[in-house]
Amino acid sequence: MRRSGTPLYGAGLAVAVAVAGLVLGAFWLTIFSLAICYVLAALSMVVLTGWSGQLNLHVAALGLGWGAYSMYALTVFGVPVAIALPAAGIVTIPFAILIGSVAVRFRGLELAVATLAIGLIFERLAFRNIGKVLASRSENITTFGSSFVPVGRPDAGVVSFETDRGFFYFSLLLAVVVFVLVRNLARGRTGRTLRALREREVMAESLGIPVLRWRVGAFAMSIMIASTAGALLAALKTGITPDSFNIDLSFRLLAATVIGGIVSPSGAVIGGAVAALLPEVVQFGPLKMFSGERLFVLFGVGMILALWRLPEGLAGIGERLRVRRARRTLPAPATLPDAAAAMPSPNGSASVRRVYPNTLARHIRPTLLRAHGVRVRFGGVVALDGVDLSVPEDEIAALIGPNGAGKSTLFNCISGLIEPNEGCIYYRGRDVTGLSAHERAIEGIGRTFQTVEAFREMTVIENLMVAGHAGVPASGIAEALTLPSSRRAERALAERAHEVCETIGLSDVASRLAGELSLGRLRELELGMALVRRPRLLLLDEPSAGLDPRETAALGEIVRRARDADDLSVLLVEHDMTLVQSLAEHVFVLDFGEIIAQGSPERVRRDPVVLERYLGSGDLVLAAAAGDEPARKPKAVSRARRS
Amino acid sequence: MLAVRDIDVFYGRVQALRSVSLEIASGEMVALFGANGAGKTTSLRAISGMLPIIAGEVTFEGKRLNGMSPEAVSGLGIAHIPEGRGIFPHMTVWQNLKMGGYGKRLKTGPLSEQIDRVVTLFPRLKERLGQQAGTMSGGEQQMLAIGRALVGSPRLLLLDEPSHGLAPKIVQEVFALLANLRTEGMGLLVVEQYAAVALAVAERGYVLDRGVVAFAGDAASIASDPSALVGAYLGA
Amino acid sequence: MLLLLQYAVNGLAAGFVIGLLALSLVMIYRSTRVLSFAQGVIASLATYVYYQMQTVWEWPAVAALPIALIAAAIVGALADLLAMRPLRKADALTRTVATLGIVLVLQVVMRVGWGGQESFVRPLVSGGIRAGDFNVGAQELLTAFVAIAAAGLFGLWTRTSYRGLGLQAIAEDASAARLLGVDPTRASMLAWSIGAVLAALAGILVTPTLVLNPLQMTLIMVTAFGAALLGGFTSLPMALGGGVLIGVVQSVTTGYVNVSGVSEAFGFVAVFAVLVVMRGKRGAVVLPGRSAA
Repeated sequence: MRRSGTPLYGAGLAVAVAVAGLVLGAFWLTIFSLAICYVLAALSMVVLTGWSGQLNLHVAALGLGWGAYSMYALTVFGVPVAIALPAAGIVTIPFAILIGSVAVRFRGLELAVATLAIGLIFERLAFRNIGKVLASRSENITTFGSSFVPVGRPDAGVVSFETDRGFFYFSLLLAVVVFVLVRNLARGRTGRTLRALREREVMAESLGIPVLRWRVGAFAMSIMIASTAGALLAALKTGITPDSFNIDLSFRLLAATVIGGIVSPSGAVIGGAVAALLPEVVQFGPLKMFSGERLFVLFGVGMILALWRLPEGLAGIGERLRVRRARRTLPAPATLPDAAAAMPSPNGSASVRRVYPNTLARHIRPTLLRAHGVRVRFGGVVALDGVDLSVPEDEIAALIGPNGAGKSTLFNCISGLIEPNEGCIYYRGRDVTGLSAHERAIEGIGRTFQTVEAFREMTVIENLMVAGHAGVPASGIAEALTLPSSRRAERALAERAHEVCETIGLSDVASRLAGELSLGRLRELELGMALVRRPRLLLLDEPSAGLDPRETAALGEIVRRARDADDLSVLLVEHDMTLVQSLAEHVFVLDFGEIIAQGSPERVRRDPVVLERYLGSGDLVLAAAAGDEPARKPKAVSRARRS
Repeated sequence: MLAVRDIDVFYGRVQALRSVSLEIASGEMVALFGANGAGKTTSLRAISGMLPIIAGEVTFEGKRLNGMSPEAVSGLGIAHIPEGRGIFPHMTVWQNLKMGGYGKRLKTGPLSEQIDRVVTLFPRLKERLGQQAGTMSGGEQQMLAIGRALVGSPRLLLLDEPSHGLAPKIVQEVFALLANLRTEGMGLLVVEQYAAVALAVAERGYVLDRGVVAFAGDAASIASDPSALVGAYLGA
Repeated sequence: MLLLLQYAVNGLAAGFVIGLLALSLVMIYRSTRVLSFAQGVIASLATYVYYQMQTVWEWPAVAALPIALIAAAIVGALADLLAMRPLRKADALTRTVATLGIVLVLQVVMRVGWGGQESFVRPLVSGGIRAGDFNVGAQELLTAFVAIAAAGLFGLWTRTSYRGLGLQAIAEDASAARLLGVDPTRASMLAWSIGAVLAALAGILVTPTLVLNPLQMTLIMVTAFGAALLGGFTSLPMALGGGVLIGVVQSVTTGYVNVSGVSEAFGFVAVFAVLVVMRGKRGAVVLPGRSAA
């Protein structure tokens, strides 16, 4: 989700609308109140889709309807409407979490269908019967037996919101509060985490973010906002009918939100306004042919057009202009030296800055990582066939091997994305085989990926900050209310992020979107993200892929510097032998799922077994192994043509 | 027959091929070597239209292939057998073979002729015509992939790692068969990581290293002095 | 016991209709990875066209039916051309959301053309069979027969003709299919046309027992999702069979449980239940969304 626009726009809009409310007549006040309800409904979809990439296809039932019926239930039990209305959103939270926990185990399309099914169950079955049951309990006997459920308007005693104007201001106030809370969350840790989750889930998990929990949270938050909207809607119409929350409304709201922009709160505002105002606008002039039910054509066509040309909706136009113009910089941190102490180190104690590399022989140094007897099978195919390797502290090791040898599989086992069928992975003496990727990340294993997994839709600093706070528990409420504790934590995060930014040499582009960087710098950023939490073991997956020799050398420099500066071992998978030769102290050769050779880079390069695996057998291998002098540079390109 | 001149190909923002040139004459088998990520598969995909060519030119029998879709390229007589073979696992062997005739929409008569020809070349397929392709062994699947390509009577065959996952004995069989195809005037471009077996059969070879042609020459000269090969795989 | 059987038989026809809709969903999904939410409204639209000819203009069914099916094929092709083709570079989830746009547009077409109130369609055949205390309507028998025949013919075509094999090829390995000459945009349009015809059949066959209103088929379509899911969205026979199963169980449940809205809701509960159950078999159902690697 894009950053929400500067608070000025939002505040200005709210003030303008509030002032307009003083002069508008009853009809337009009702329309505007309706718009506010729709805006909140759209916001719930923006939070769900824009923030966590999931789709709720029946927001009217699975959201709006819940809020309406919850509020009604509260009033039946004696709670005054003025409290029941805002409370409706909060009351639905437990149910939202429950349904969310089930729903988020589905992905993408399956989740969309699940929301449709659940929504329809509520719309067609639950609501009607609940309505009847509740109505029979209320004191208003006239409603018993009918499917129309009356709902009162809020009355706070001193100030009555029953009039159209009063209710309008009540809605506006409620909407502004919701938007402010959402905005606070969007700009901080919560927003970053959800954006990261949405863009690249695997990477987010590897950083330590508990994916399912966050997705449930996003789901619950979305339902909460929609419930508030639904309660408002019911109070506006002073009643609920069986058709109040039908599938038509859901599709219309979805279309309007897509048109407005399903990825940003400003899109929600535009979308909600469109949904409420368009039916009125088409009463005039040439658009009259679209009045009544023909209106839906505009929604349908508009949605398809938006998906085709403007995936970020109308709000996206403003965002694009803004991003192009503005170069926002975060305030520079006040002091740098104590930043390292402020960040909790996953190692427990503050790390000693190491200046000289560890000169002890390999087998004497304590073992940091050990893989023992690792076997992995995919169906009938054996990917890893009993791999044993160990990496001591303070070493840069490389893993090479022909195509299909199992390098990625081994890497995924070590980092926790795959669990081996047999064998164990030990890290710092502990058996971590059962730990998930994000648990290992918290233990101090960092990794990069072949496809650079930096989050392109966030700035460099935001990327580093996400890497810094991923998985570290924090209070969402403190964040929503911008309490001092939350602000302090943000500052510390930013300081550490700037520190790492300097180490990797990206200070000059700290506020640029990662998507604008060249590949070489993206890889450096990804490296930085892995370093933010001071890992002890760094796994680099083909870091030089796609880089030219200059960029590769620069990357190698950063790796060496990082290793020298901290307690760090590095294991990299590589095909670029220049990098391996210059950087690695120990090389493992993997083929057909087992380690066939290991040693220093020079030794491995001449090993006949290795040569045979790479080149095939026979004379070729002998000829290659016989060549003792340092290899020549590749011959100039020559052409030999068949005559 | 096929001329690739100074092409640049990108994967997103990464440059995968830099000024790559190669040539294949009809009746010739040319091998393409290199480490993983060097650009071998990318080269094939650029020729067959699966990847856009940013600079340079590819011509086939005089016709310019730049910008053509894979469907169109296959219609010109170029068959690309991708890495992983690309057979349709839930369809039978016979249905797979029939798909080889899709481009030309071969009628029943000519189609049967072609399929007969193919099963004569690959006797093992003959017994399995009704079997689901996904249940066959790797070697049989490779034969099916090649056979399917042959049904369409292509003039140029692009093969990506035909030895992948196959036992050495079967690899010999496959390459012997490929060698025979040359007599009919077919051109073959074979990508291989395991150089020895390809060099025994091909006339010429190119070695790719990080997106650039590092070496080009006839098979004999590569085999007698493999330093360029080793350099590309294991470092200079 | 007899009552149970009667309920079951009553559900067969509805089940075949659900099955036909499921077939159309699977057809489109396999070849394009798009879950078309528009199948319900396409069915309704075709039924309105049929209604116009058969009930309003009183043409004979043998003329009205083929014309309605052709109209459906055209509508399907247009939907693909106008909504799917511009989005061909977008991911599957986006294109799926776009099908909702088709729903909105077609709904308006129906409301503008026919007013949107409920109408009745004269059944294709009347009468029935009695076997003791047992009743089977002729229309229901016809439905079963047509559904099985259509599925059979269609399945045969998929397995033997070039175009049919091409659709299956695209579903199994899109790039390999392209390398053999299969044009994915044409394949998509073909899939949509065929899907539309199957949906139209479903709508026309079910309608005499339902009233004709634009929303109805969309709800049945959601039930059809469940049937398609039972086949993992790839197996055609299982989609048809699944539809029959759901139809029968739905009918039996409605017969015994008398709460308002249960019969409709049952379909949706079925969908959700299937989703949950299939979730257990990792890899059995994969509907790729944005988070697919």
